[in-house]
Amino acid sequence: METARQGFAALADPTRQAILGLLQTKVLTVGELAGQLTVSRPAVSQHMKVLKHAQLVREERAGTRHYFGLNASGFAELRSQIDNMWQSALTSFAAYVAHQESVKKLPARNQKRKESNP
Amino acid sequence: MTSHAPGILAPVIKSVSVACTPRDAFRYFTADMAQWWPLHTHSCIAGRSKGGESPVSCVFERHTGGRIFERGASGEEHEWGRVLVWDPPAKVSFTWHPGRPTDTAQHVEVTFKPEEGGTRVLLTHTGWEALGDAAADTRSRYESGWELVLVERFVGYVAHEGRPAGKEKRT
Repeated sequence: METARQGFAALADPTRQAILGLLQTKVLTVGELAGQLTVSRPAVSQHMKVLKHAQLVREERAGTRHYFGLNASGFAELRSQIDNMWQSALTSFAAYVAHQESVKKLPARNQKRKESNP
Repeated sequence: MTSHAPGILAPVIKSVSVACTPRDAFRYFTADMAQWWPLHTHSCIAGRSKGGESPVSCVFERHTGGRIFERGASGEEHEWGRVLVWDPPAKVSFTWHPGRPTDTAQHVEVTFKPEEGGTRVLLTHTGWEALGDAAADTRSRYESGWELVLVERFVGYVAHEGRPAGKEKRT
């Protein structure tokens, strides 16, 4: 739950959306992201901290360089929570409709019985 | 539907068939939401409470701009979203941000289509496309052949790997 809230909050920021958009094509360093987005490196670092905390990006080290890439399992987890919620809600909705409709049919059936058995 | 992007940017789509008219299904879904919504598991109050506390009700205000919210025992309200399109009995759409600030809102559209024996209710949850837009923008600015190939391959990979195990769309 908490991770989901962080995930959606992380997704809500336009700069972070642009960062995630860039990371779709390849892994990048903070410096490379800053260069492409015309945002300062410290600002990008801060955004990466938020995205990492929300499990939307992963950090990889290659020697002294730190690369960031999308964390597919973090996205999958967010989507799975949404999926579960609507699955549960629609199942419950269908059960409610079935119950309401069966109640609706009851008087009609009684009516029929009355007619055939005066 | 606007986006067919696979994987992480694709909408979450769910559907269910019910044995009633679209008009009734629409009314049950909106006016009667408090009767069927699983408040004990899916609500802000239940989510925050350790002791199994649930809201007493939820309300779906039936007009464009209407609020969808839950109400706790002491009268406090938590907004889940706002109605964007009110078009009974065919369609209703609303923003969705339960327990979160409005700027994190996603978007839900529910359509009610007649089918043999009743109504097909189709729910489409979008909002990841903001990232898609950012990505598209990025692509147009930094477009180059090999990058696009990578995008396609990555999206294909995520579509394959990112699907929750054992949870298929209910159709």
